[in-house]
Amino acid sequence: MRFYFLLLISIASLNLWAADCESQKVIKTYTPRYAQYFKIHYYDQFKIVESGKKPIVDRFMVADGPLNCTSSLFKFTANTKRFIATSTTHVSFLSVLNMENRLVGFQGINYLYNSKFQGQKIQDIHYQMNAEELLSLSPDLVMAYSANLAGQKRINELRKLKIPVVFNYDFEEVHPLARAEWMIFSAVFFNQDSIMQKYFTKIESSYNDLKKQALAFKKKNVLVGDIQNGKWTTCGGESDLAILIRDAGGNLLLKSTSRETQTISLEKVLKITEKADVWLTQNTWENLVPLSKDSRYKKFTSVPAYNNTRLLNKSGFNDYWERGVSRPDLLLADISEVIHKNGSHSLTWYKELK
Amino acid sequence: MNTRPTIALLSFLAITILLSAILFVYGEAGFNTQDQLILWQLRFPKIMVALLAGGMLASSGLLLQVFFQNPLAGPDLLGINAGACLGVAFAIMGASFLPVEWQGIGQALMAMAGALSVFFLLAFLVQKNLSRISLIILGLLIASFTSSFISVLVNMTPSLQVKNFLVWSMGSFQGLTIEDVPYFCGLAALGIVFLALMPKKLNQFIIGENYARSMGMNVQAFKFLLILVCSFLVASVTAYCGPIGFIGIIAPHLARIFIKRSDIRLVMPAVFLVGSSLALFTELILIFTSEYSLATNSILGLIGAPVIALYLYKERRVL
Repeated sequence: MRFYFLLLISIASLNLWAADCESQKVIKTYTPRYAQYFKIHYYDQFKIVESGKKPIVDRFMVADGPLNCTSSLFKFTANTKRFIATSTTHVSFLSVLNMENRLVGFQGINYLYNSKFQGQKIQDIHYQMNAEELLSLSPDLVMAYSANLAGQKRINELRKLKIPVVFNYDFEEVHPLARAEWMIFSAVFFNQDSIMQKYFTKIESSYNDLKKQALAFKKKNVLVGDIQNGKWTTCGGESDLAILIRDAGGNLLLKSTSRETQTISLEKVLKITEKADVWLTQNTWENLVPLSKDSRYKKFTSVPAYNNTRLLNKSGFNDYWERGVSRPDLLLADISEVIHKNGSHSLTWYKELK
Repeated sequence: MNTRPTIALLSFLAITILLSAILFVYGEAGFNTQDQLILWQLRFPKIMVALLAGGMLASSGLLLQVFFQNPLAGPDLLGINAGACLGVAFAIMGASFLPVEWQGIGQALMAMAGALSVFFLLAFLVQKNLSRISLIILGLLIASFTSSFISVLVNMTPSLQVKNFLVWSMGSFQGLTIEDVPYFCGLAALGIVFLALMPKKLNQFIIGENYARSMGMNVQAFKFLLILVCSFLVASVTAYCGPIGFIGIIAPHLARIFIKRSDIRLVMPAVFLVGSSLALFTELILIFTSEYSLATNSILGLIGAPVIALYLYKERRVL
């Protein structure tokens, strides 16, 4: 009896004496070059990741194996084998790493474009993220976004149930490269972050090369949007698409100072004096037939019109929102080709409507 | 001879014409009488649609208020609007299965089908002598059922179709093109013909069903016709403009305040013109607030809710 009592005291003492993990020396920190809402701190045995928008920043640990320190942070495995995702932008890195088979649950499997996903067993997850449903899949990682979980409070509730859930804030980022940089965040849970950092550097360099090349071209006027419910709906002047157009050597017409989608009176649109050289419609038209049936588009019928529906899956969902977000360099090449038509690039997502 | 109703009617007509004229020469692009594209492709369809849709909704509100003998009855009450919404929800969310050129037509037809389905249910129950109160409760149940059904559809449908439906469900007089206007005018003309045939019998009906019977009216058949016309008016507007609230309830009250007569022959055109003026006035407000992209229903709600509250206050009685 006395022996067991002493043993218990000794174990408790060891626990008390074990140092806090966060007091250990940080070996290096990955501070994203474009993304604003995550950071990765590398320690000897583990990584601590910060994600979120101030003042609510989530901090958690990614590690495998026993640690010689203690921490109150939620611990994720660095070797995720069962992954649940909730957005097409969360899964594109799997294709880069050839790890598509790790995806076991997804919210709206019809949205997935990659044919490898279509060929494997993936459970459709409900929008409200039902805890029982998630637990039934025994996930190592559940990647959500703030709209389908009410916030950090709900994350903490799910984590109490041992559901390893984390927010991905890629949609909050504005710059196309920032959105792509979130692949590094996702790769941490698969112990592939260093590979993904190198991959991202290549994308960044390719993007910046294209941006430099675009400087040599004459600026072209680009009209974005179409009529919805009697209003012209276009991208914000500071949105990711606006940045892509600017970097591709385009001058966005009807430019606002917002990053949000704009609805503008049709009268104002018809009064613009600048002539559009290219028109990027934001719809799913397959040709110009719908355009010819609506005389309100009369002013723009002579403008070459494009949309991004070249790659659709059998349910009509678009690879643009899967691979496009992770390859801003290819997106920029597409838009540059659409604007300048220099014939140096074969379009990936955009197509001309005829 | 009391000239007040005539003066009121002429005033409503003058206001409607004035508002139409203002909207024709003034818009978000400022004063413009030169640009034919803006005048005929944008402003003219908007004015025609607001003019007719406002009048049709107001008239349907009047018919329902007479039918139910309830001053707060409106197109939403019988579930006809909800039926049209469900039809359009099916049309928009199932649109991917239709060829592009069929999608617009499908929407109008499905709105009609939805509204008429509710109508036939109601007509059947009217024939079975279901009380007016029961019809109101049934209307609310239909609205609740369709709302739940639409939620289920939204959850099951791809995001693009959901977006299209949500945009439509915000309601607008600006969504129609000049190419759509002849179809909408055709439906409106048919509706106006129906309305023009009704005032005499409505005057008999409003005194009481027994009186109407004593005058040789087939009350059951008239009730059937009344709901048919109402369904037709609401479905036509909802199919093209989305669900538009409040006009159907407030226009009859505003018209009666000035007409001060219960003769439907006077009230009906006044209500139509007040409905048209309300819709046109809403469009005018939308021009001045264009930078905020407000919805038509938001403006109508801001006008409508206080009018209804004022009516309830003025008509308060000790129970």
